[in-house]
Amino acid sequence: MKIVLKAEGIVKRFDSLVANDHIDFEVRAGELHALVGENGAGKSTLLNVLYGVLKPDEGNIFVRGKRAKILSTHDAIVKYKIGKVSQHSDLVPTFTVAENILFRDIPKKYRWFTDRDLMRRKVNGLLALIGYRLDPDALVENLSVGEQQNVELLKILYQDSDIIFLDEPSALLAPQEVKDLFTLLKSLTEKGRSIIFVTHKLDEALLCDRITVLRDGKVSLKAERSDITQEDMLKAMFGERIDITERPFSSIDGPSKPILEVRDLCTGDGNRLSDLENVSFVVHSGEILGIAGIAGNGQKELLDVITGFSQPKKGNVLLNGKDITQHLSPHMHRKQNMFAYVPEDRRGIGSLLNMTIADNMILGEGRKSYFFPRFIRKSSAIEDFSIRLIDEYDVRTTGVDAMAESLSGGNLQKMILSREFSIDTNLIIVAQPSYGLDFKTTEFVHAKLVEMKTHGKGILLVSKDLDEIMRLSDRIGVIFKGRLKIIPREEASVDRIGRIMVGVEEDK
Amino acid sequence: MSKEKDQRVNYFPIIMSVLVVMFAIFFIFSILLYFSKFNLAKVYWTLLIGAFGTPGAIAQTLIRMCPILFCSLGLLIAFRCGMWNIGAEGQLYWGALAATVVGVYVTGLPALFHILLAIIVSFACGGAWSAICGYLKTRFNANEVITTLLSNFIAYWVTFYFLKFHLQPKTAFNPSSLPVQPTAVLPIMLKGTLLHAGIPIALACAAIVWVVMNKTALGYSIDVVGSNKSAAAYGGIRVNRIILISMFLSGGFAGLAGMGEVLGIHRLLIRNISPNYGFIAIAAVFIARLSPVGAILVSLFLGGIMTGGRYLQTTMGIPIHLVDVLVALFIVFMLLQPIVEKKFLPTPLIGIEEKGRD
Amino acid sequence: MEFYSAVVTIATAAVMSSIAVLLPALGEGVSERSGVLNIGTEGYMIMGSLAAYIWYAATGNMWMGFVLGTLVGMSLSLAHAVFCITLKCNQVICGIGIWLLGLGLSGYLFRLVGLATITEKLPVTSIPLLKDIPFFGQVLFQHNIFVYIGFFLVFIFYIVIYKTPWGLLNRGAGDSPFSTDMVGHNVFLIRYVSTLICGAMSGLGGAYLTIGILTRFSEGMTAGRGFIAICVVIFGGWNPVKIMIGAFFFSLIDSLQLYVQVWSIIPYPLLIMMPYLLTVIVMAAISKKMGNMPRKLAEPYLRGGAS
Repeated sequence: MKIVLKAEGIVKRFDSLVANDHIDFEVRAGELHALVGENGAGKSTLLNVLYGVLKPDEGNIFVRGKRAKILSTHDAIVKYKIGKVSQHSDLVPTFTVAENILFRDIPKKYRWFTDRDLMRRKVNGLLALIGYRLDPDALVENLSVGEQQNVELLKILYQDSDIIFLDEPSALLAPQEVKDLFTLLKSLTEKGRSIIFVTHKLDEALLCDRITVLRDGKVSLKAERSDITQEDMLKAMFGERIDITERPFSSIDGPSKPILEVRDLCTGDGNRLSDLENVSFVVHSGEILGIAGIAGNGQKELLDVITGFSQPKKGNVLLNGKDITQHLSPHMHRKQNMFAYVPEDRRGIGSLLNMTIADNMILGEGRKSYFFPRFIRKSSAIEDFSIRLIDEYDVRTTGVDAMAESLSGGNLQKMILSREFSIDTNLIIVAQPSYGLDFKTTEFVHAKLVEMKTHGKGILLVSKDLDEIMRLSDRIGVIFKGRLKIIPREEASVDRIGRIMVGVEEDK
Repeated sequence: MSKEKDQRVNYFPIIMSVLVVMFAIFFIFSILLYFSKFNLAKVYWTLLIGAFGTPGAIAQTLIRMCPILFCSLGLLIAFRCGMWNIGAEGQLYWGALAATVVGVYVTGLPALFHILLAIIVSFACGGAWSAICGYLKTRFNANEVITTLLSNFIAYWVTFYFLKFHLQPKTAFNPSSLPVQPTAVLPIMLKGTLLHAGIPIALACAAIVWVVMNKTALGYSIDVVGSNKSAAAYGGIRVNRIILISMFLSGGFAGLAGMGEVLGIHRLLIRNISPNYGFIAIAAVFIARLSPVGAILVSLFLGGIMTGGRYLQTTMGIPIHLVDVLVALFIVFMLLQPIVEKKFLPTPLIGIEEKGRD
Repeated sequence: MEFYSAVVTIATAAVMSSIAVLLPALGEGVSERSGVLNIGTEGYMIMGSLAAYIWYAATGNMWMGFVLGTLVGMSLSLAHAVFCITLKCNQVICGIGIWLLGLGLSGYLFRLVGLATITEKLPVTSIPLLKDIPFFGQVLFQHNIFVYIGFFLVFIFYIVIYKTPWGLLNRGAGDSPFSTDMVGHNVFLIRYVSTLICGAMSGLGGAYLTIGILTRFSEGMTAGRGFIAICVVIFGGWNPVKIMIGAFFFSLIDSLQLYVQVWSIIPYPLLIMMPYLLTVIVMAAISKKMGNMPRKLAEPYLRGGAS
């Protein structure tokens, strides 16, 4: 079997983080190869290196047997015939399917005119070749996400790429669309294309010919489909981690009462994987409830409902015993200091980059009366408050009058944390709190979370990072395909959690 | 855009870039002058004298400054909120119309109350007009650049309609309204000139706007919405409400500009009450970096150019259009200022990004 | 009979004057489709008017006047293109500046030159046979040659936009410059060309206004036609044929005011403001679903960043 793509000893570092640690990876011609790993394992980085987006610090790449220098995506596409379907769309939404596929080189007739008949024929030919049905004249923006993704695939095929990367393609697809996708991929490999399929879903991985598992930047398992089971993959993905069951259960003294209660929450119409289905849980005072799960399984939808950015289709949200489902709006929440929220998107919604740090610190309608007594700005109070917080949280900056965009990622997160944790409330919601942060800052963030817990606050922690969940949580829930399963403490082993995260054990 | 209230801001690049741009503007302007065989030095000197040389000139400059300042104040509120309101000219016309109606047809009020009423009504009319475009944006997501741009023309022609068909006495030759009541006339500050009370009112408004934007919760909310709408919502700010309020305030001040022209200068309504003050103010506020203090300075500067230009016309026979050209050059070339400024910055201040693992 | 002849006169006048709005609108349509908004269209037009006027009044050569008008419009739009596409400045403010620049510069140069009025305008060329069709014969086929050129240009623009690869590239640059860049097309070049086309067409329209219709030049004579052109583009959904209809419709409203004594239903200032009002309403109606509106209109394309 010919080896069509080979990566040897790839090393890629981002400051202190080693995203790819001497990775050896190879793909055979005509195979469907699964690249598996949880968030942060290094899959996307490896793909970016092979696609010319990133330059590796060490290592060699061989394409079709020859040493390759992939310096840009242009190189990858044109010189090496590699194509990649990424998670965001590269298509022009107002074009038809045919126009998008043939955009690079539009067929002409009589030298000046677009030859639409030829376009249709080419696209239909391509579709027939791989046995997929789609109207070449359909507008891309009217297609479903799955169909759009397939159009991107077709675009790559038309580019004559025969090494194709798919980065978590099934993340946004409905189950039937996933089936269609695989049929399409199978027929492509039969025609000699080689496909690398990045996923974290083990059942999908087992539909591929060969599987490579990454963990913490290293290859932890390489095998043929027939040689391994889901258990093997699980172990390779999660391996030895701190088991929560071994940690002494730490909680505050005194009775704990439920702070946040969610009952039978449903969103959307149940067609998407991320639509919530009867999600229920309780967060008590003095505990950290960690919700583990791979991105895209409904975490965003859950947080959007709880924090008031969207309305649920069904279900109730109770805060301190009171039903607030009807009052779900960020304005309402903030005004009454219902909770503190450290969002996943630090730069997008968590901070005001072109305003000063002090201005960022006072964000939140709940404390308006404190910083703006009788609607007038009390600069002394604001400055004192901000200075106190940046000291306490060790935010490295030139001063509270510096622009927030001058802060590094870690310091920005600390600023957001300091702001939110200083809110006088007993519910804290954090999403991916240590994403992208270095070790020291992560430790700091974790320590702060535990500190908040010992003060009696209830904390809802949502994270893709299983390590983080295991270290911090008193109770754990796992979200998968819109459903939440709370795991009793005695059973909350890494093994168990991992299985649910990747769908090995589906809940009824 | 951020406001410069931070002492740690490095002023060197800003000043240097402004100087560079000014140099470019005057260079081009000089070329134009050269082609028409005017003595460059004499032109610039006369321009300066015409703007600030005599008390009469200063008075004229201040008179020109007044509407530009009013409009700028309004525009800076909208721009800081992230709303590209380019309808100041139309909002000015509504204010002028309102002031005329109040000035002409309301009788029996003492001067102070009459003027106060005119202020309130002008502000309300200009504000409401602007708020309509704000509503179209919040409700229909209609691009406010286009809606406010076109609302200028709608306002101009509707005002003209009222002027010609309802306000104009049968005997008048040119379209103009009846003169306003004496009690509605803005008092003159300096005898022998037209320096009217509108100027101190404008300066007072500048102070008010400064206070509101920098020292109140409303100003803070407006800045936050303009900085990042999603973060504003996240913080609990009612974004749509703030947008509507800022658009209303924005149009209101532009309306006051119209009031100033009607009650201070002309004492009645005429067809072309504004030589594009509303559009000039857009550039002014951009150059002034959206700050009220800057707005005063830039309005004064532009008022000086317009006044000096008029003087150039009367004394040296230079067509007034050249002044319009100079103002337009300002608008266009000041766009380069941020770019030039970047060239003067030592090193970028942004911290090192830590990359994600995925 | 009087009513009928009035209708015919108005319609004929509308067709003739619509070309002055049609040409800039066609150009602006193409430019907006590629993502560039030209608020300075009014400035392109009036400078084109002036250039054409000066040349024609000085040399008597009508056609060179048109050419010069086109070139002048194009140079102004080149400035806009450099500022907005290469230097990535704010298109709105730059447009306003260029508009005021064109306005002031044309007024200034006109004063400086001060030539006499042109006496002769474009002669009427009736198309044989077609001119005898009742009603439409007079309204459509008894015009000066430029009107026919205008119709022809609509046809050309339609073909280019919808039937050639360049039209697709244009649309791609305006809706998704990132995707267009990724497949290897030069977004900046596409936008430059489109903007220059807008300038050329606007300058040509301005020249037509002077030489073809009004036979004179005066300050601000374009009277907002550049802005009406922007309205027409929106009203016509960025489609050349619909733009032509929109231009005619708005010119019709304008022509009506000439005969306000006959109608007296709507006072003429309100008639003049109709096009603007209608466009605002259209904006409110289409903005939720976007329709044909270029998705990235007036957003500078930042290579390497998201767009």
